Amino acid sequence: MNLNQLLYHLFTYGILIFSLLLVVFYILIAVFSTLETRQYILKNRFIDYSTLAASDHAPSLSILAPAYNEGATIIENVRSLLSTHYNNFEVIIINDGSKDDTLQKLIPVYELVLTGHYFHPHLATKKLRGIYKSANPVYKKLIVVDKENGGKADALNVGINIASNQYIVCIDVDCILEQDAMLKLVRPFLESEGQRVIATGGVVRIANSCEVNNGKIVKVHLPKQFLPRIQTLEYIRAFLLGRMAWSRIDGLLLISGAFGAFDREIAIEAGGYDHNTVGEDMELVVRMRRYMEERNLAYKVAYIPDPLCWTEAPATFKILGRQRNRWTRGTIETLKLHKKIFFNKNYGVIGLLSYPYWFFFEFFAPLVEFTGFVGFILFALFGLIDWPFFLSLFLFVYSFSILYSVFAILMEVLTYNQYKKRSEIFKLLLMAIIEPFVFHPFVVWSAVRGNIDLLRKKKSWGEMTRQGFAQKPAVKNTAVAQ
Amino acid sequence: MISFSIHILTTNYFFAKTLLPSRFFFDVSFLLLTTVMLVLVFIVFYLFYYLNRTSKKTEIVRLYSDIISEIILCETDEELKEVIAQLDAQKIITHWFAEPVGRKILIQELVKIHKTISGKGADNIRWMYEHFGLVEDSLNDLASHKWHRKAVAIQQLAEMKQIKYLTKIYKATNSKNKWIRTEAQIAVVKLTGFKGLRFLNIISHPISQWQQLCLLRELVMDHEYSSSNLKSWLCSTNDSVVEFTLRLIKKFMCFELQKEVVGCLYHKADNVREAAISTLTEIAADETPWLLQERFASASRKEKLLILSVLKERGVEEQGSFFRDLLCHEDTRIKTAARAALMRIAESASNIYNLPNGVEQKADVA
Repeated sequence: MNLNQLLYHLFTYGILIFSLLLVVFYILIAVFSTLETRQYILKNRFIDYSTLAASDHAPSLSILAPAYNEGATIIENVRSLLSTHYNNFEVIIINDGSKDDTLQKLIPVYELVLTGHYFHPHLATKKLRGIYKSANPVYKKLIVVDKENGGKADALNVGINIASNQYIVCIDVDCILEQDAMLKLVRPFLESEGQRVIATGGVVRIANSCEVNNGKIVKVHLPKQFLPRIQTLEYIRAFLLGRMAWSRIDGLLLISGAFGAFDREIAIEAGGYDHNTVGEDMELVVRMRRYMEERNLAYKVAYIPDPLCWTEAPATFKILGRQRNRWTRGTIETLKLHKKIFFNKNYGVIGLLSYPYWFFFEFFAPLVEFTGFVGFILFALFGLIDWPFFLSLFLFVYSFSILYSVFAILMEVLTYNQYKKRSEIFKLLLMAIIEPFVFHPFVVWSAVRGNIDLLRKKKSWGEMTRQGFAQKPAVKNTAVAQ
Repeated sequence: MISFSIHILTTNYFFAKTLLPSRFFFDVSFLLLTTVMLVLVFIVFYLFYYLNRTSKKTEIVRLYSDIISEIILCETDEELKEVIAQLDAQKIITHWFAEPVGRKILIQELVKIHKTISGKGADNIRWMYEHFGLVEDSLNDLASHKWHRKAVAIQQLAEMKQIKYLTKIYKATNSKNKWIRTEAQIAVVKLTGFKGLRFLNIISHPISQWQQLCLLRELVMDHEYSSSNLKSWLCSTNDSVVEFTLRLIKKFMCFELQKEVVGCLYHKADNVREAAISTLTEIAADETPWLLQERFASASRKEKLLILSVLKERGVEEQGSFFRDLLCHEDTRIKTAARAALMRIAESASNIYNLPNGVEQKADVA
């Protein structure tokens, strides 16, 4: 066998093994998530969350919500956060140098006054302009921080510095929380025996087209627009299958930046959010895990399948592209920062399984796919394709992808059943059928562009224009780092 | 972000082709698509079943709520019997009472309502639970091999105050299954109050924080405090038992156990030492601030911070120099906590300054 043949075989079998491993991973994800979700639901049948709601001993929470140019909805958003069904909490709104009237709107409504709040700057941040508290005892749980613009990570670090409670809950200010979201999110911290739970996350769902009243989801609908609808299927697959499966083997590397709770002490010890990455949510979880692993401390990152948080998904290809581009850059930056754990047995599951999975199947897969697609076109042009065989393989992969999506829909129906109409289920099925042709290639392309932008050292978050829930007017939600 | 990149296979078809014939992929695809169809059919039938079940349940719950309302309002046994006699005459009700689904829903409703009421109304609910033989249903579930059914049954029996089955429930307090064990422990405390805590003498598994909250809630609700075993539990080899006992001491302010709590400041387990520090906040005596100051030197960082937070509330002016020394501590968090404690004491001292003439002014923390 000469060198050319050897390279050819290495490449050929390498790709084949890669693809087979990916299929095996998806099957394992389906199995593990089923087991984990089933156990959670059975357990939840007899759990009385009112114990926690009424208890003086419930752990204290600091809800951190960075706000940048949220003037149009900030009053309602804060009201919604203050009405959280929990006893022992404070809400910290961090105005990240908004250019609009976010702060000016908050001051009169919540009767805010500038105070000399005493805190220690555990984490370095941009300069603070002032800390406001309400003169009205009704809003005593509210703290508003005004600071220079420094990006989401910087704003959250300010929140961590100011927070006085045991656990921090980081959320996007425009997200809609379920009434009992905090109770469910906090419970894993208390349930653990012998391990310290350092972070918990819950399922994020898509709120486009849902009916919202007084900051609460009153009726769930499948999004009417194409992109949010197809993302609904994607979210179900990712949250209900993917994350639950990783949670089963305690290998979670990501808790959504839209809604997650962290042990404040460990977050500070680990160094808080990293300003230099656009994937600060994943990066913090990985760093906290590394902190615990390197000190041989027993710990866990928990995850619960309840839909706790509702967010607005991008409705245009332009915005979606920016979002996926940023996610890709965030993933690569995090993987690069923590390359030490790659196949490092000292880091246990995250070193041997989670990190390699993210590396090969989240970061690398879109590149392989894109290369393969270009190669396929070239082979087709040169007439090198055995079409009957291509069709058989294509059919296999396509039917597998549909089965995986249908399985995710089945899990949704059997567990939380948010979309109760048969027509909505059929629409989701339709999305599963067309996704590989319309949505997925675009996501792959955005990921490739993310790689290119990273090489060009692009650091921006990209503008995220939101339409707002229900009949609310369009809101500009621009988050620009540094 | 789980990418759906499995169809990279399609673009690498020429590699797979060397290993497997196309016939194989056609066959597998057929199998997968058949599975898709089967799952879809199942979803359709399940949704139909789900909607049917939901509407049936709503109907049964509405029916039961009328009956339960009447039962709750009965003031005498005669009235109860009269209501039951009326029910016996209604075929639809007797039908659902005979059906397992109907009985299951009835138990759920009775338990739910019983949690929210007390007095004669609650007695009537329990009477109804026993009268219709629903205890048997709960006992059948208790005998089940499924952990979740057992746990629910224990919860039901405890809520309905079925004290005659205490022995059966008590056996489960040290069960290998966490959820059965948890529910059994809460149940015995719900049924017998502080006496129920005797499982702490034998328990070999840790008690989670959640479980501790649940037990505290039950103990605080309507049971009389008894401190007879607290001292022995503080010596338990199960660290979580010691931690829970410290919480009890804090909650019920057992000043008589102050000496034992101080002993726990030197316990081998971190969480016990931390709980002891926290407990001393509530049962502090004159010497407590000094004992904590003494403990400070050999404490862990977390304990040091905790001690400082307690001293912020309970510290005395004479400790001013101790706090001032800490202002030069290398750990910024400790320095910050010491400063906060110092400021608080200074604040208290300034309040003393504002007192009427004749009150001694102390300048130690100025």
